[in-house]
Amino acid sequence: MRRPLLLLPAVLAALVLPAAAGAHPLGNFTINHFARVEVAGHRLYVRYVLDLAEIPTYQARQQGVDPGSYARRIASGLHVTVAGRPAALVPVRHALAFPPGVAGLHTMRLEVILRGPAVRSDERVTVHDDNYAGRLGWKEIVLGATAPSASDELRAYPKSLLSSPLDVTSAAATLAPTGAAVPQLTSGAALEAPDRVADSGFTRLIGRRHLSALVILASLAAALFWGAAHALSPGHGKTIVAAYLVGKRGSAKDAAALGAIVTATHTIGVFALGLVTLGLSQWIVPDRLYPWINLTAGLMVVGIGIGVLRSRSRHRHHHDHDHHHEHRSLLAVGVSGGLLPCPSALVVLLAAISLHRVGYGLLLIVAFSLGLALSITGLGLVAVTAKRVFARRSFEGALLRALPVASALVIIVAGVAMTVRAVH
Amino acid sequence: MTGRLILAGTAAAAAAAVLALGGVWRSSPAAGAGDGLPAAVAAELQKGFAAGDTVAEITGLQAELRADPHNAKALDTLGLAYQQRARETADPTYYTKADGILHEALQLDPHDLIATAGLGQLALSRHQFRHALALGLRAKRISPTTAGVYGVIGDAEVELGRYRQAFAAFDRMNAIKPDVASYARVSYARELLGHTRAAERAMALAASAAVGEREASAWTRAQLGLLLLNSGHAHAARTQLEDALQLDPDYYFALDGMAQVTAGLGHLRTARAYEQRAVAKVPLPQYVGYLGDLDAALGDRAAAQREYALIPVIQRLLAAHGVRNDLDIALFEVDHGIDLPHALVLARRGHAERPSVTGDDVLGWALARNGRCAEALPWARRALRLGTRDPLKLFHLGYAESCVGNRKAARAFYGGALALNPRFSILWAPVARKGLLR
Amino acid sequence: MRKLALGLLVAAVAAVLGVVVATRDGGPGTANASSHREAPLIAQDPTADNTDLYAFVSPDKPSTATIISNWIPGEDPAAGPNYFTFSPTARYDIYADTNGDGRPDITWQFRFKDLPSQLFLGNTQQSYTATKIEHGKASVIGSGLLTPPDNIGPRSTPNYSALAAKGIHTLQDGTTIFAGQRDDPFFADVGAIFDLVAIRHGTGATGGGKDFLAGYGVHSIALQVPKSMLDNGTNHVVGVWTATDRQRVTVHNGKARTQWVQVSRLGNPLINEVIIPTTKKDYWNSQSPAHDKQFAQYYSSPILAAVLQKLYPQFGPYKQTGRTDLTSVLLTGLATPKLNYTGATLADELRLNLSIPPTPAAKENRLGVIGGDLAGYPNGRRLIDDVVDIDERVVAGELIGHKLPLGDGVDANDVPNLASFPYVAAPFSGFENTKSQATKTTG
Repeated sequence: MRRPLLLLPAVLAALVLPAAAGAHPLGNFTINHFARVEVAGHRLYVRYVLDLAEIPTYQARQQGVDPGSYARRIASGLHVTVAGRPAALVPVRHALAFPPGVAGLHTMRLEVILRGPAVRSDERVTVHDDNYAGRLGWKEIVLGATAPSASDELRAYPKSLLSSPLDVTSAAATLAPTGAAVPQLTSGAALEAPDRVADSGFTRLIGRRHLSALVILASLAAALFWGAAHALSPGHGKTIVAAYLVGKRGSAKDAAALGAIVTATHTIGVFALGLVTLGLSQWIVPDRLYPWINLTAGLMVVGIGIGVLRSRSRHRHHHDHDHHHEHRSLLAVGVSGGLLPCPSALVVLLAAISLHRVGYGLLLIVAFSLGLALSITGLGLVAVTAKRVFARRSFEGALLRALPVASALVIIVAGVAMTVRAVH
Repeated sequence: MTGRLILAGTAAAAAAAVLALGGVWRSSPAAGAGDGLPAAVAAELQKGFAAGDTVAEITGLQAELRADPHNAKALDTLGLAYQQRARETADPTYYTKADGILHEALQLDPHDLIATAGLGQLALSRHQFRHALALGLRAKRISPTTAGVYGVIGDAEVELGRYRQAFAAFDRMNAIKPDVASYARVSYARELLGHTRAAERAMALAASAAVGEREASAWTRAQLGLLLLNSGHAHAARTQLEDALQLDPDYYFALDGMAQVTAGLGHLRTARAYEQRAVAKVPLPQYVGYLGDLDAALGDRAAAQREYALIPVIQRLLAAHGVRNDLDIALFEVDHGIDLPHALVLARRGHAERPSVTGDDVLGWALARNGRCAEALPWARRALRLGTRDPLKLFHLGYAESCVGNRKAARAFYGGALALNPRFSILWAPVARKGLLR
Repeated sequence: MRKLALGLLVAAVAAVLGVVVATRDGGPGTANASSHREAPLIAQDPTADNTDLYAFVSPDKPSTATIISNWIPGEDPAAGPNYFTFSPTARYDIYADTNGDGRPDITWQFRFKDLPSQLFLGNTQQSYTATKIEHGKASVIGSGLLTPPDNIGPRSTPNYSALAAKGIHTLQDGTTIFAGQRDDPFFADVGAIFDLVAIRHGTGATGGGKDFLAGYGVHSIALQVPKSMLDNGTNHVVGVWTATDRQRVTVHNGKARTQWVQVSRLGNPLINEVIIPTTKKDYWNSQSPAHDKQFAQYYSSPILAAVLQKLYPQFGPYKQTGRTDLTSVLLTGLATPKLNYTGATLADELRLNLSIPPTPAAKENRLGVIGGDLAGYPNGRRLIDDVVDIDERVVAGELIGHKLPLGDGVDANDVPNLASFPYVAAPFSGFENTKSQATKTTG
C-alpha cells in the first residue's frame, strides 16, 4: 500500500512548482546575435546564433529566407584574427527555425557553424562582429567552448531591472587547442527555443485574429487548461485549502463547494480589479493596490485560521459540528483562495477591452477561473483522500487527533506569511 | 480552557511574528531619507557628468543599486536615465525597466517627486494621457515650484485637447525655469497657434539651451528643421537637419526628418535612403508608411507593397502589448484607401483617446474619405481652430469643402497648403495642385 | 447558502457591467507607438549650470582679490563635435554684497557670442561683453573681449598656453579678467564620499580616493579686482555669489521685451547637492540670497547629520537639529571666532575677509579654518581648499566640539594650480584625453 504515500510528495510538489515563463523580453523589432568562438581539437570554430524578432522576421520572410546566404553574410561580417592574422571563416552547417512569437507572429532563429583556421598552440584571438551594426538588439560574443552566455545563447534574455541589453561587438582572448568536440547545432524542439516563450499561452488567446465559433470553443477549452495549470503555481490558497480540508472531516462535496466559491471569487476579483484599474486610474495608481489586496487576503487568512482554530479546539471532543459555522469557514476559505486575481487574467481583461472583445475576454476569464477552481478542488480532494488513507493506519491515531488544530495553525502561519510579504 | 490558551498563544505568536519580521515595516522617514544619502550626494554630483552620456550614467547607477537596492535617489535617476535611453534608441524594453525602477522608488517613498513625475512621463509615452495628467497633478501637489511637473501636465492637456490649460502650464514651466524642455513646449504651443516665426525663435532658444546634451540638441534642431520645412524654408530646414545628424548620426528622429526635408526639396531617392535608415532603427507605422509612399513614388510598387504589408503586423504587435495606435493606423488606412469603414471605426476610437486637433483632423479626414463630407467638415474645421498653419490639415479641410461642393473655399485651402510647402505630401500635394485647376 | 449564491451572482454582474462601462483609454502599454509630440523633459542644462565659486586674496598680488566662477560640469575635453562653450542665450553673473544685507552692491554680468565660423570645425572661441552694475548704474567695462578656444589638440589648437594667455585682459577700471575653458579644479571621490575604512581604523581620511573629476574641464570666468573695490572699510568682509539667467518666453507674447529668470545660483559649495531637498531645488535656484531665511530650516536640521548617525553611530551622537553653528558659518559668517560675520541677515554667500592676508604656500592647509589656516574656507574659498572634507567634518560637529577625521580620501586636484592669474590650470587637450588616464599636452 505504497501509493497513498506517493500522493503526499505530489501534493507538495504542486505547491511549490513555479509558474510558466513570462512575456517577450526584447523589442519586437530587434535583431539579436550571439557568437561563440571556440577551438575544437586544432581548429577554430564559430557557433553563431541569429535571433530575429517578429518584425524583422516578417520582413525577411517577405523576401524569402535562404539560410545559406544569411550564413555567408554572417561570415563576411565577422572579423576574426588569430595571432594577428585575419582568419577566413567558412559556413559549414546551419539550422533554421521559426519559433512562435507574440500576436500569432513568428520569430526566427538561425544557427550557423563556421569553420576557421588551424590553431596549433596558445594563440591570441580577436573577434569583431559587424553584422547588423546599426540595428537595435542583444549583441554578445563569448570566447571558449565552456564560457557561460548571459542569454543562454539567445534562448533566455535576463529580465533584471538592473541590467541593460548586452552590446558587445568586440572581444579577445587567448585560446588553445582542446580535446573538445566540434560544436553542434541545436536540433529539434530546442531549436524552437521553448524556454523563451513569447507570451503565456493564456494571454495569447485574446489576440487571435479570427474568432469563429470553433476558435472560441477551442479557446475556452484552452483557457480552462491554462487556469488549471496556473493553479499549480505558488499561491491561490492551495496550502490553505488543503489544510482546511484535512483538518475538517472534509468530503468531496466540501471540496466541490470550495471549488465553486474560488471560481466565483476569482472572476469577481479580476473584474473588480479591472474596473478599478480603468475607472479609477485617474485617482489611484493601480499597481499600488496589489500590496493592499495581498495584505487584506493575508489578514483574512489569519482571521480564518484563528476562527477555524477556535471552532476546532472548542469542539475537540464533540462530534457534532456547528454546520452554520463551518459553512461560513468554508466560504471564507474559498474566498481567500480566489481573492488574489492572477496578473495574467488581468492582462487578458485589459487586452480584451483594448481590442474591443470584452465579451470574449470575460468568457475566457470565467473559463480560466473554472480551471483554476477545478485544480484546487482536485488538490483538495487529494488531500482529503490522503487523510482518509492515513486515518486507516492505527499508529497515526494521535497525529490524526491533532490534525484539525495543527491544520488550523498551518492556515494561520500561511496567513502570516502572506501578510508579511505584503508589507515588505 | 486549554483551547482558549492555545488560541491566545497562537494569536500572540502571529502578532509577534508580524512585528518581529517588522524590519519589513517602513523605517521612519528621517532615517529612510538618510539611508541612501552618501550615494545620493554622489548621484547628485555625478548627474552633471552624465551630460550626453546616458550609457555611462546607467552603468554607474546599476552598479550602485546592486550594492544598495534601497537608494531612492539612484532609483529615481536610473528611472529617468532609462527613459532617456528609450528616447535615444526607441528600445521599448527601457520603458519597462523605467516602470519597474520608478515603482520601486515609489514603494520607498510614495511622495517621491521624481518618481511620480517620471511615471507621468512614462504614461505619456504609452498614450495613457489621463493617467499621465493624474500623475502630473499629483507631482504638482508634492512640489508646485518644480518646473518639470508642468511639462507632464501640459503635455497631457495638449493630447486631451485642453489647450488653454496646456498653454498655461507651459507658461508656468518656463517662468519657473527656462531650459530646453520649457522652451520646446512654448515653441510647440506657438506652432499650434500658427505663430510660426515665434515658434522658430523659441525652438532656437531650446537648441541653444540643449548644448551638452546630445539627444536633446539633435531633437531641437530636427524639430526646428521641420518647422522651417512647413513654413516654406526647405533649404534652411536642411541646414538644421544636417546639424542634427552631425550631432547624432544614427538618431532615427533626425533621419526621418531629413527624409522629409530632402523629399520637400524634390530629391526622392535621397529621401528614401534616409527613411530606410530610420525604419531600420525603429519601424514606427508612420515611418514605414512614408517609406512605402517613397517607394511607390519612385516606381517600386513591389517594395511599397512590402512596406504597407508591415503596418498591420505592427498593429497586431502593439495590440498584443495592449497599446492602441488607432490614429496612426487609421490615417494610414485612409491615406491608402484600405478598408475605409474600418479606418473610420479606428479614427473614432482614436479620437476618443486623443481629442486633440490631431484627433479632429484624422477623424474628419476619415469621414471625408468615406464620403460623409457633411459630417467631415466640422471636424476638419475644428482641427484648425487654433490657427495652426499645417499644410496637411489645410489640405484635408480643402478636400472636405470640395467634397460638399464649396469649390472656391477648397481652392483657397489647397492654395494655402501648397504655399506653405509645395511638396507637403507625396500622396496629396498632386491632388491639391489638380484641385487648384478645377 | 442560496442567498449567498444570489449575492455572488449580483456582485459578478455588477462587476461585469462596471468593467464594460469603464472602457477608458487602454491597458498596460510598452512601446512608444505614435506621432504625438515628445519634447525632451529631463535633459540637463550644462552650459547654465554653476559648478564652483572661489574667492580669495590673490597670493601673488595681495592688494587684489580674485573671484573665480565655474560653469559646465563634467566637460569631457574629447567631446567633439559637441564642444562646450558659454551659452550665447544665457547671462552669467557674479554678485558682491559689501554691507551684509544679502543684496548685491556690485554686479558683474557677462554675455557671450559665438564667432561667425563653423562650430563643428572646432573653432570654439567666443567674444564677450562685461557689464558692471554699481549703485543701480550699469556700465560696460569691456566688450569684444575674446576667450581662448577650447583645447582640442596639437593640430587645431597648438601651443595652448600661449593661446590661453591671450585670453587675459586688463580693463580700464583696473579689473583683470579671463573667461574660457580651464581644468576643473574641484576634487572629490564622488563614488566613496565617506572614507569608511579610514574611520574604522581611527586614522582619519588618509588618501587613496580617486578624483572623479580628474581630466574634466570647466568654463571659468575669473576676475581680479583691487581690494578697495570690495572693501567696506568696517569689517572688510565681502559676500559673493554667482548665478546664471535664461530668457523667459511665453506662449502668446512672441515679441515681448526680454525677461531674465535665474536658473542656477551658487554661494557656499555643495549646498544645492546636499542641503536643499529635491522638491525645492528649482525654487532655491531662482531665489536671491536676501530671501534665504526661508531655507534656514534645511541648514539647521541637516539631513547629512542623520546620515552620519547611521553610518558611524559609534562616533555619535551627532546633533541633527538646532545647528546654529551651520547657519552661522553658511548664512551669516562666523563672529566667534571673529572671521567673516556680515550681520544678522541670513544669506547664502561665500564670505571673504579681505583683511586676512593669504597664507604662504608652504603653510597652506587644505582644511582651511578648521585646519588652523584662516585664509581658507569658509573664509572665502581657495582652489586648494578641500571643501568636501571640511563640510563633512563641520556637519559632524567640528565647530561644536565633536571632531572627527572624516574625508573622501582625495586631498588635492590632479593637476597643480597656476601661480598667477587666472590660477586655474589649463584644460586637458581633447586629442590626447581619455578620462581615465589624462595626459597633459605641454604645447
